[in-house]
Amino acid sequence: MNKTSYLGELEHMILLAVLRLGDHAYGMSIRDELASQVGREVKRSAAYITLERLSTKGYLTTRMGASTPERGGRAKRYYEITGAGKEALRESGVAFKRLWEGQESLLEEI
Amino acid sequence: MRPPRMAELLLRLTIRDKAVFEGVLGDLEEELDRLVRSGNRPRNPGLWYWRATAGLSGRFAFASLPGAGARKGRSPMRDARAGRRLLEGVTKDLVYALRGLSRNPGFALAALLILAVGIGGTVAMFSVVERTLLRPLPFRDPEQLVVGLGTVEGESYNQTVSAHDFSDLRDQSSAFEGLAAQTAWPWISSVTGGERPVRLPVGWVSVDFFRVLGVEPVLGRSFTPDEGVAGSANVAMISHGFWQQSFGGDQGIVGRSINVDGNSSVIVGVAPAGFHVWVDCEVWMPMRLGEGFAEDRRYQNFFMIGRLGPGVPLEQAQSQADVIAADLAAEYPATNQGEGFRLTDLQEATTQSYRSSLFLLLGGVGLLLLIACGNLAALFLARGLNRRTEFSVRVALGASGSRILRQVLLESLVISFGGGLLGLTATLLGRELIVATLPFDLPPTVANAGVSWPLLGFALAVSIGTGILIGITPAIRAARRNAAEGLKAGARTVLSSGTRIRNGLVVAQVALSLVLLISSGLLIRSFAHLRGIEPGFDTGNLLAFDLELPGPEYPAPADRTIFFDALERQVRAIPGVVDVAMINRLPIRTFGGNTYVYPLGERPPSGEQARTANERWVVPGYFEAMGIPVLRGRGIEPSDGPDSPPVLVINERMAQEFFPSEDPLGKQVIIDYDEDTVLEVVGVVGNVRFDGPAGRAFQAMYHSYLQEPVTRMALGIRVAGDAAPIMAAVREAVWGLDPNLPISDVDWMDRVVARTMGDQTTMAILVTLFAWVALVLTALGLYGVLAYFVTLRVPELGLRIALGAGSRDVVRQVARRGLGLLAAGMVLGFAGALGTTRFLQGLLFGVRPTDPLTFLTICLFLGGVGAVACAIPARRALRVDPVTALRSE
Repeated sequence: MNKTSYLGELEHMILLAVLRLGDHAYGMSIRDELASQVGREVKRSAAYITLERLSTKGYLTTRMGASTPERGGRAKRYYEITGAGKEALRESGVAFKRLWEGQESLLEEI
Repeated sequence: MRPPRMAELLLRLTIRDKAVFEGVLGDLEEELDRLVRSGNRPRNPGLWYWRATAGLSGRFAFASLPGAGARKGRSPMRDARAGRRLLEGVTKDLVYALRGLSRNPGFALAALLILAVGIGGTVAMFSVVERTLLRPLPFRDPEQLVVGLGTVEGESYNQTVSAHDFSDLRDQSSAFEGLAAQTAWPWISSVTGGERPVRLPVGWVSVDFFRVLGVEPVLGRSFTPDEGVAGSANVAMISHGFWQQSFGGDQGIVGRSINVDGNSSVIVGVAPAGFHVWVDCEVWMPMRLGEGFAEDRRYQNFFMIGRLGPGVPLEQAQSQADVIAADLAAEYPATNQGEGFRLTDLQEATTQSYRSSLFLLLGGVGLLLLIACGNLAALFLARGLNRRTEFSVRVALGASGSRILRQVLLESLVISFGGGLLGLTATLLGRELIVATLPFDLPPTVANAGVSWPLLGFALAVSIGTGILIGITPAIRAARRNAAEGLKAGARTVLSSGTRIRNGLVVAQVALSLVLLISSGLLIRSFAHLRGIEPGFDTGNLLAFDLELPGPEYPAPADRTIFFDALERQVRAIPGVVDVAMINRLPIRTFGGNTYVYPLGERPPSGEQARTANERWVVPGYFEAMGIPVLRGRGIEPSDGPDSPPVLVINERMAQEFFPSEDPLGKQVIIDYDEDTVLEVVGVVGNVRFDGPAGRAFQAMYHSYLQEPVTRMALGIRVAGDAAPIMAAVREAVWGLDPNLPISDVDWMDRVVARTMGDQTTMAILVTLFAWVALVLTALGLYGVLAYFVTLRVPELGLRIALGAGSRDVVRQVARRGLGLLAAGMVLGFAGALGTTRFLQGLLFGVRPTDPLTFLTICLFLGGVGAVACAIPARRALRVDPVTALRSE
């Protein structure tokens, strides 16, 4: 199996965050989501580069939203997961799920 | 809160996609906004933005590195990682390099300063070369412009041409798009009409002079063709500087009149600021065939500026000019026999007076930099050997050879870049000082010219080149060393293997400094020779200034005689004035005209030119006041007035040329083919070198001023004591007689003479300075390599001494090594100097470029200094204690 077909850790997390945020996924909110749910402060540069890479791979589409005053009049760049993105998430998720099988007790220990 | 403009720009430049940029920047502003609302306002929001954008743009820049990337199907992330790894590698090496240098800050600082001076000097000289010789002249299509001068019998010294020859060439040649002419020297005239009367250089130009150069007046117009016709109204163009200074930049200047030497002229235009072609002029008037300097074909007063037609090569224009010159010679044999035209590229012609000096100085600092590089390379090499354990450990721990090479090379590059940066900064700050120090008159625009890409490129190239030159050998050696060998303590084979390179460096240094020292020696000898030449008169305590009476106000010759007679009497009465010399043009200060002359009855047959002599007018007492000896007969006396027969005093040279086997006294001569006026030679005086000590003593003749009172006079006042009050009293005397007379160019005569040797003086000083620095560096290099040699040989020497070697043997061994290197370098340098000193030819006076005395003296001198540099380490070898030496083994 081609190993590049699996998502990297940050890619995986960001795709999930985009999925969870639905219509409201843009740079700031995605980093906020990761910070609140995983407790991980993703570096700005890492987040944007990964988002753009996922777009290039066809896992995300983008659209420009309305501009707001607190953004200095600049529009938000919203991200939305594509079919291919969902497929990639599913593949990685299934792989993890298989590996987790029988080890679930580890999750409860915490 | 808005991000700083520059930070925003940086981000915009690195994030190519506009939409991504919008989103990112918007997020940043929102984030800051939230921080402010939640009470966590950054202390410096600008700095916060900079931090954020720096991280982002760095990452995006590497993600978009060319050559990698999405095209090859690799993810941007991997590219970013590869880029980052490279950056981190280089950064780490840079940190290593800086750390390595900081471990020995004295070494680093010394190397930095040496290179700052070396690179700075080279860059400074290059900046002048670039601005004068390489940068195109500020005219339209300057590569089409040529200078036209005359030749005599094919000899191409700078000979001027007559206006008639110029106009014939212009009309007959088809090679030029335009051909113009200007008087070949500035004619200093009294100009009134501005704020106060001034004396300014005036040039006469053909009416299309400015058009040919492609120069547009900033105000008004240039001359029209009908203004070049004899007899038309006087018009003038003025320089930007004169316009600013005397008219306050008045926009309504066009149409106003100025008075040039008594003739009223209407100003028609103002030339652009800095306009300058070969001869400095502040006022231009149209040249008119048949008038003034353009009156006759035998008056050769002009140089020509031509613009070649599109695609016409210089050679074609030259061969056409040759044909036309031959025709002219056939048609006007009396004036044109043997004469021709010579066309030269304008830039080459205008820079030829200082071109070779400039390249010589650039070569000199370049040699110096090379010598300094030799020392630094040896130092870096020794440093590398001392750090062999460090490198071996790194290699043993897995560092690759190329990694170590990179680190060592970066150390020298850091130093050379620092040095280059310092040097470049100093060059830019000290621009005007550099131009002022150089021994030749550069065009005034040179000092103002700014930084240019070629200059920056040169500085960068020299810095990189220097860094590599210094660091490459130590770097390669460090990289090649294998770990096991280096870790063996005291492995002497490793230690000594750098010796050959160091020896080579020292030999090169000795050779290069010998070249510089010999050059300096030749220039010094030439200068001393020049200083020893008397100009032919006493220059001590002689104050000089010029006066010119405006013709219209002193129309009668008697008026002028009365004025100067009164002035002379008043000046003589001033306390402290010893003597007064009056002549229309003082020698050396002002050039004099050469005029045709022949003995009565020996008029040259048609088709042959009469010989020429320098012609001046003097007031009685001139020769005595100047200290010019009267060798035969008498000088000009008060009795040589307007009513007595015209007399002439000639110099010794003219007496020999014209009357080689006869007594010149009482001989009658004709000047300028004017057979109506016969002059009688009444005396012979000593020769005067009119162009300064470097010039030759040309034949000269002196008229009595009383018999032909010209309007222009120069005074030489021999003083005793303080000059300031005397000069103040002189001014009072002049203005008491005529308050409107400008007094110009007050100066000491010995300074005037010294200035004619300015080129040689400063060149000698600069090259000697280079040579001394080179000598010190070379002596240090020689000492260093021998001291190192002794250190390496301590155990061996100890053993020899223990086994009974005498002190003489030990010294001999060390000295043989040092003197061998010295001799090898000197042989190379001697050959090099023989090959290169001929470039000095144009600057040497009375000394041949291969002067054996200079070569020999300098070789002995360098040999002596070198021997001392060898003797010190040899003495150290003597003091080696065999017990200590052997114990360390």
